[in-house]
Amino acid sequence: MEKVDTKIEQVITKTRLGKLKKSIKKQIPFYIMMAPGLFLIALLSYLPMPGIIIAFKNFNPIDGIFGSPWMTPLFDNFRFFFISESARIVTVNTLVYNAVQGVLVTVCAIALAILLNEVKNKRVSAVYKGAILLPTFLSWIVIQYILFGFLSVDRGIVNNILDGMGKEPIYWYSEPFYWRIILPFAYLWKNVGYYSVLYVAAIASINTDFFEAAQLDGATKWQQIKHITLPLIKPTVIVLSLLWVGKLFNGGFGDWNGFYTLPNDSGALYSATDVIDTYVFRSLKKINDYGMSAAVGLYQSVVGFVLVLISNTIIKKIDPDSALF
Amino acid sequence: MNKSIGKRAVTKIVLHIVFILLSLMCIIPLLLVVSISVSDEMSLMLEGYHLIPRQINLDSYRYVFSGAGSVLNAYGVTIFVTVVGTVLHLLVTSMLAYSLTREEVVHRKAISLFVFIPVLFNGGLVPMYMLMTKYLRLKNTIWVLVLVMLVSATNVLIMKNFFRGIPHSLIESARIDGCGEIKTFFRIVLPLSKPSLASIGLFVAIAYWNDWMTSSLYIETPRLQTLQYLLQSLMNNIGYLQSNSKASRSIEMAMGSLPSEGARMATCVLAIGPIILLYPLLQKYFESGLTIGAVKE
Amino acid sequence: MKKKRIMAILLAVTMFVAALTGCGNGGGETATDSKTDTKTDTKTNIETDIETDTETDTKEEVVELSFYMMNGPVNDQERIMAKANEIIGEKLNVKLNIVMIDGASYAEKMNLMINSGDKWDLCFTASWGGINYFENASKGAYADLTDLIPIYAPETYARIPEGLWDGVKVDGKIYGLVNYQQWGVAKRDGLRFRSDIAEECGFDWVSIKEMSTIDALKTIDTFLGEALAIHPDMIGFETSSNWSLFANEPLMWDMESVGDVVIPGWVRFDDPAVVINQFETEEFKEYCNIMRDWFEKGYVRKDGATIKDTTPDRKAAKFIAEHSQGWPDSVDFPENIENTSMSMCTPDNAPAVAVSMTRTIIPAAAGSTAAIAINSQSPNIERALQLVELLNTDDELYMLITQGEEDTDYIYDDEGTFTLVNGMYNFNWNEWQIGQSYSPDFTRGGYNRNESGEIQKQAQMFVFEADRVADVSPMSGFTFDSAPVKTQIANCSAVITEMVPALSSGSVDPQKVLPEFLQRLETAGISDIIAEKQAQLDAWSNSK
Repeated sequence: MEKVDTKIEQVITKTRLGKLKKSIKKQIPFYIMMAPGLFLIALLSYLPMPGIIIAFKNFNPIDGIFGSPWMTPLFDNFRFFFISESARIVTVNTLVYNAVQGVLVTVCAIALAILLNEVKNKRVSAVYKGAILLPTFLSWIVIQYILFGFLSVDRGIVNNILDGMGKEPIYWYSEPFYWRIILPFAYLWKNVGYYSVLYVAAIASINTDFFEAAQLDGATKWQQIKHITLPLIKPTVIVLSLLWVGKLFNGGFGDWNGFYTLPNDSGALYSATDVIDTYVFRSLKKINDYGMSAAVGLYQSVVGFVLVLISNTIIKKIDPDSALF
Repeated sequence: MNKSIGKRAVTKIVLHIVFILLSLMCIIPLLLVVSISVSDEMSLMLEGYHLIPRQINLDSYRYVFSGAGSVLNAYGVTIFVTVVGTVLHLLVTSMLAYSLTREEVVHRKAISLFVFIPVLFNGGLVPMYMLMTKYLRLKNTIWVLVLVMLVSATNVLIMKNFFRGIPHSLIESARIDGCGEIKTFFRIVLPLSKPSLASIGLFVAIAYWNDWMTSSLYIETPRLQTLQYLLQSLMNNIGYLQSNSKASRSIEMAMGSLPSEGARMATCVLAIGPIILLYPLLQKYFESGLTIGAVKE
Repeated sequence: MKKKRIMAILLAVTMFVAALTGCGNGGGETATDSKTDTKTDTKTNIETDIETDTETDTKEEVVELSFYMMNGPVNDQERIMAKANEIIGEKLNVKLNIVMIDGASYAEKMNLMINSGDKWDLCFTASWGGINYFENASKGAYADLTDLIPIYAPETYARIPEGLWDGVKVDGKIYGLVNYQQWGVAKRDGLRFRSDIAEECGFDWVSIKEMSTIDALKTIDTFLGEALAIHPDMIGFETSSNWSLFANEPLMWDMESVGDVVIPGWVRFDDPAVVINQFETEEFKEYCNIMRDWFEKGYVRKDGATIKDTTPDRKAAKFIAEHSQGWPDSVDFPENIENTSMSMCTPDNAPAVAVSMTRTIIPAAAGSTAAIAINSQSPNIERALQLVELLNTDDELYMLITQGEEDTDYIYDDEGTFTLVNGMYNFNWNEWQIGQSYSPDFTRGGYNRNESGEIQKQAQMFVFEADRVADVSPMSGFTFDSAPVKTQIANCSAVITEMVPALSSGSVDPQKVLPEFLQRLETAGISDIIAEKQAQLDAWSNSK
């Protein structure tokens, strides 16, 4: 009895071990390819990561990150943000602007990508693509100058036009309301080129055979879009959306400079233009406290991470391959 | 028949009109920048901004070039960093992303998580600075300019998505023909991924080109300064002087003689110009990667 | 085939890793990296010396000292530094390496270097712009120079009014070397008016002298009205989102800030032992009312609360009246060129007169407006100090670095006017960062060799004399430690930056908004800040 058991065991182990060896051998080329990337991520992102503990420390440069004493009470660096009266307003602003951006940019970028695909003349479509990409190259400071050139009270182009029509000048930089429209539009203008190029690439990778077959079957353009294009770029939409979800609590999904620069740092507009990051930046400019700014950053990261974990789990149930991890 | 041809023509015209309008919306602000950069400073002060400059004057450019010392050197540094950085970045990113789509890699989910976490969690500037200067000793070297943006978790995840679109059958047939995994990657997969490589490549190139912050933090020798930093520092000095003119009377006296508005726009034009030239060169790569007939299902 | 591929990849990866680690110390473009190497070398080579007699140190290597400052691109820096280092090398066996960082990144870069323990020897430091002199000094980042100054930099100390040194003291110790400027330090603020327009309206600007700011503002009210009726394109007074006549100029209200000027908590000169909330004062209320009145009458810009950059208006000579720091004023010394034109203008397109209204005082912040600090972790503190002494006593060296070489980089034209040559060496008017631009014989600046130059010297003489006898601010030497109330400060800052510009420019109704503002400050914890400041001030006064 025993002999048979052990022999069976030996057979099983042999195949298992064999399989293991074989699978490792298969993976080697991939691990080689992944090595530089993983090494760099470990070096550049994980090595400095312990710096996060600054959020919990009473940091001073002589003792450094690890030597500085812990904050007492531990969460004191977080206090200033959460007890501030503006915490609610800026959080709402952050979330609302991000939600609007997410939807707006995705819809417009996909629409533009599809339309670009329809332009048959390659040269012309290239020109169009280049044109909508231009705003991506500009930095927010430059965009602010341009905007100022349009909206300046006494020298701006818009008010000059209004003046020519006999109307009163509008004080663009004193009315919060306008900015609830200006800011999303500015971000859309700047980012739609980038995302539509991504979606164009996504559409380009769809096998043209599908479209041919559909046309032969008599499908209209709209039907083709609805049944071929959109479903096949869904993975791209999901990946980008998941990345955004992680940054939901970060102003402008991380690119908060626009919220700070465009309104010219005008106090009257804060109720509409302040997001979490601009508020923190302004409050801490004078004191230069690394601990407090690290604390808010950590809060944003943790919340974002939880949201991504939840979303990712949901996506796994629907379309497992599209999940981030 | 005629009706549908007519209809098609109308849609075509509408399509083009839409795009022309969009393109104008994007190009006109840029024209404003160019216009201001060639306008006479006084006319800007007195008459404000106009799309067509009231008085043309190249003083702003003269100021930028004279004050910026070795602009040519900066161009050289920036071009080197951009080219090398972009190529290396694409290489590293695509190899990692591709491997994560292959089922052979058993732990790919865990590795993806490993890649993703840094997108959200960041140790901050101080530890990064310490790493670069103290431990890696990369301060004042050209490699720090390349290194900081050599890998991007976001790009890895986006590329991973694109690689999934490559039909498995193509890869299979290459393997059957005796190609190793790595060779398959370079010979088959990459060429098919030209659109996504070109897109990501363009953005990475722009990121490298526009990066001035790395230079301002880690480079102290003028010989290694990047173009953007040179231009930025010129602008920052003006801006800084303006907001701190109380610091010294000397500054207040100097302020009167600087062409600030025009100079700002001039630096912007000089910064963007080359990027706009780069774009047409990349055009052919944006074409569709999968040709008809590559896959016979 | 497969093996070849693998080898290629492995090679790439190895090259990669080699590139990361190896290139830090050699290869290609890194010839300039020798500087980082020298710094590590000097640490092991040089021993601390207490002897001031450096001529006997022939066996020591040349020490390289880095000096960080804010400066833009500088042409021909190598030529000038080579010449400068000839002098410095001969006298001190030191090589000076000036590292120029652009103005906007400077504060962040220096703070980063300090916080991460990076190597540097000297740097420009100040208590404004986020450069955080006091914070860094109290953290121990800067070297304590109190006992070393008498030995290595006696002239630097003796040349300037002693009261100034209190301004850089933390807990009684000196951490920075004051850069006394040719403009002096005693402050006496006032207002400046367009003289031609004043004459037009028959405005008696002399009467403003010695008036309180509120009275002065009320007096010029009618003048502005008349002036604007004749010149409707002009602007009565300057308002902007980042400068407020009240919040940024305590001296105009006979008050002094305790610590940073924007953090709430000032004292009155008449009663310097009591810390008050400046926004609760009668003066602020009256000021807001006057500005509101002016706003409604159109004396100030309608977008005064939001406009950031007033340079265009200044250059276009649009202002009728503005805040002035130039003194002696036009009553006492009419030829003072600082007052003969409006800001950023010439006497031709905007002639002006100025009147001083406040008391003459050396502000507490005077010393820390411009100073040089030495890294407490530097291996060459004494040498660095000697270098500063050299910069401050060797006029030729100072002129060389700050202006260049005569006849190459600057010339005195036919009329004797000092002019910089275009395209040659330029220091961008930053001489105040690298040493004291003051000199009793006026040999450390570009003074015109003609009558206007003489007049400028006389005006400055005035100031120097006054500096010697002027009152020193009661706050000199006191540093406020903001750590206990940093949360309240952060939240109050947010409220202040939001609402003060609006109130100061008159664009909101103070009847409604001022109480709101004060209430929001209360919620943000302003009383805690005031109480803390009071407590620390009392402790400091008692310990004196």
